[in-house]
Amino acid sequence: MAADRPVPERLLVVDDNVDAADSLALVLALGGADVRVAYNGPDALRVFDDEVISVAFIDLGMPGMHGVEVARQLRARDVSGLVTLVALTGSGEPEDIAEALQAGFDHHVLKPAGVDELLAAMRRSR
Amino acid sequence: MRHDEADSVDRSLRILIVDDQAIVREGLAAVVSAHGMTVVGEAGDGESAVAMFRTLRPDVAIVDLRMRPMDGAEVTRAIREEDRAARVVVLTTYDTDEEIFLALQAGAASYLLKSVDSDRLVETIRGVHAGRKMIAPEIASRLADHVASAALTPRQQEVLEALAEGKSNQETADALYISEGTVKAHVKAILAKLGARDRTQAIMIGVRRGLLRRVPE
Repeated sequence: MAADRPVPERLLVVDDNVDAADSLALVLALGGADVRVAYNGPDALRVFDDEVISVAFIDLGMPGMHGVEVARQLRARDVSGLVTLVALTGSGEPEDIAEALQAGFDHHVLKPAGVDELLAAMRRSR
Repeated sequence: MRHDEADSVDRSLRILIVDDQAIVREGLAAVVSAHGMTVVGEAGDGESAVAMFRTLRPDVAIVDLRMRPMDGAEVTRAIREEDRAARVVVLTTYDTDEEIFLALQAGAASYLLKSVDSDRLVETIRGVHAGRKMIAPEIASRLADHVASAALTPRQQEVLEALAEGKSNQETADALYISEGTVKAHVKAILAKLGARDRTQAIMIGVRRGLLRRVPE
């Protein structure tokens, strides 16, 4: 992974499961990225307003603001149109994935995701 | 040291990775392997980690702090009881003073936050293997503040020991030739410094921090 390190960029991880969010953030940071973490939708929107985020990994099954709604709002705020949204899904059900893509996600990854899958989802956006 | 010599040294470094999140184990393994080190084992919980350490005898163990039921500080302590020379790097997202304090007191040689980048991680592993304590300046500074603010005075230490022996305020006052009111004031200060809600918890924290030599009966 380190030998194949991506160009440093700012990523956002959004997940209400603190341990899962921080673990994903660590792995992405070890890969050379600058990572921000939010544990709920409103915090994710605040980070997105304040920082230039190139890729956001968003858990769908969050209480309060669901991941699909977070994606809709991020997409609406993304004036540059350059952000890549990756849905982290627990079920992998076709209808969930279809709803995610319709809401503005570019890719989806089934949890628990491996490092290679996550990096592949990032690379597909370039 | 020439570059090829450094590679040769790193190749011989045997690493044990302990984290309850599979993706973290995978990510850490990828980084240390890419730097020529050998991952000899990966454990997803504390008990497995201690068993693996006993069998594999790695040069350095990287241990997540927040795990259940056995947390990283307990794993560190158990590993160090197996081998006093064991090198442990504690890795965590959480950076409360108390957690840093407990991890280092358990015998960790380094305390890294999970915002660490791969260069810093590798540098830390090498330094710890060489026998150095690798504590980031900002953490060292906070640790010093924490120790200074939490240090008991000699008299407070005596009162804490009396509490651990089960003495009442009056018995403590008689033993130390001070008034009961003064004992109460010392107890209040001890609770505040140790962050304890009552006497029992103060004694438990005292044992954990090594202020009391053994668990009172």
